Amino acid sequence: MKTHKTAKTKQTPLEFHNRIVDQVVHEAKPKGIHVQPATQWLLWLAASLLVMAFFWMHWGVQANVSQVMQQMPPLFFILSAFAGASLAAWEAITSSIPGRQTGKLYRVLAVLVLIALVSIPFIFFVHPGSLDLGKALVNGTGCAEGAAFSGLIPWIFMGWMLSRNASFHPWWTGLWSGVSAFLMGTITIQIHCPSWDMDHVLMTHLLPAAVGTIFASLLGAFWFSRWKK
Amino acid sequence: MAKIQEGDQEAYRQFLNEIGPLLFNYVRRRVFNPEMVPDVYQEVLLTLHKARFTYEPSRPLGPWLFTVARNSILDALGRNRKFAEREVPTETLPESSALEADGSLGDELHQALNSLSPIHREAIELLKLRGLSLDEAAKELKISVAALKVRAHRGYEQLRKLLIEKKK
Repeated sequence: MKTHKTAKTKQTPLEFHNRIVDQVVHEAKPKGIHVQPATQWLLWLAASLLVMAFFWMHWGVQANVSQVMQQMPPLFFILSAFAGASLAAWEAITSSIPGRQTGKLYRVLAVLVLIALVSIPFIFFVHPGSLDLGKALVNGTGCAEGAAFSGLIPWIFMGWMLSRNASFHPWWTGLWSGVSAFLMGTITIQIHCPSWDMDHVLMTHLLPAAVGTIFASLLGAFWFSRWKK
Repeated sequence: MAKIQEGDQEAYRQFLNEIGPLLFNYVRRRVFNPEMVPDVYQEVLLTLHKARFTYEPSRPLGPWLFTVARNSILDALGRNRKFAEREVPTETLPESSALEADGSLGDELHQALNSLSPIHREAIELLKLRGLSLDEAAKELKISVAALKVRAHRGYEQLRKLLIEKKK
């Protein structure tokens, strides 16, 4: 739609209003159905779980996954990653729909869950004798690529959904969409990879999510503002 | 609002006429420069138009309407501030012009134009001196309009730098 920059004329406010109304009413064509935020969230969840299931079928899951999940630290790690992703997805969706933004308390809760998630490896996972994060990254490039790739697909789906909304803070929407999608990638790879060492988890399972989030935020700033054009 | 989303123009007109005074006052209370109020109000209505499909008819209208209004006011004011930072008011421009009284180019501008690379000079000459439209100039140069815009933009940048250096 073309913008009309001819506001400064000697018109009364009513004449001015009528002129703009004529312009926009003329362009009022029916739009496709707007999907409600809860439905968008469910669609995102379903798509992410499908992608996850696909990768687990393709790559396999760690042999003793049911035993591992009976231990508290791994279980908390997976649950907090899932909770963080879900909260982030809701934040991304609602931040892109006018009048549906979450409150401060919700955002504080989401950030606390993410802090808990990052803290778990430091507190509970196996510490290597000498901490060499660079080496952990080099040795685990396969995991890092897997985490990034399995997060990218849910992000593209989510990005497509969010681009149909109307975000006034596109980089913020992009940031939370990145957290939600790439944490799903972290879960996917964490269930596949048998290593629960702190340095490996941090550098090859969580770092890709952080990098993906930055990427999503930058790209989102452009993508999610296109509705205004 | 549901009718509006289905494309009912009369319902849309009625809705805009009903919320118009409310929004105009909302804008007037938030924009301190009275000259800017009509522009910002126009911006609010246009944004409202683009975002209309995100309204859920089952929910109250107020939060949606005022979120759109508040954010588009902030966007408009932000854009205006950025523009104002770059804008040079005409009152502060120097009296002398690069053009001579007969409309020919002044020496400074002529020299600066000659020191540009040929592709950039050509683009500026066609657009600014011969007054061709983008389409006409692009056809004459046998390049796309986008490529012409890039050439002209780079040419202006070079020209500006050259003229500033000469002033110094």
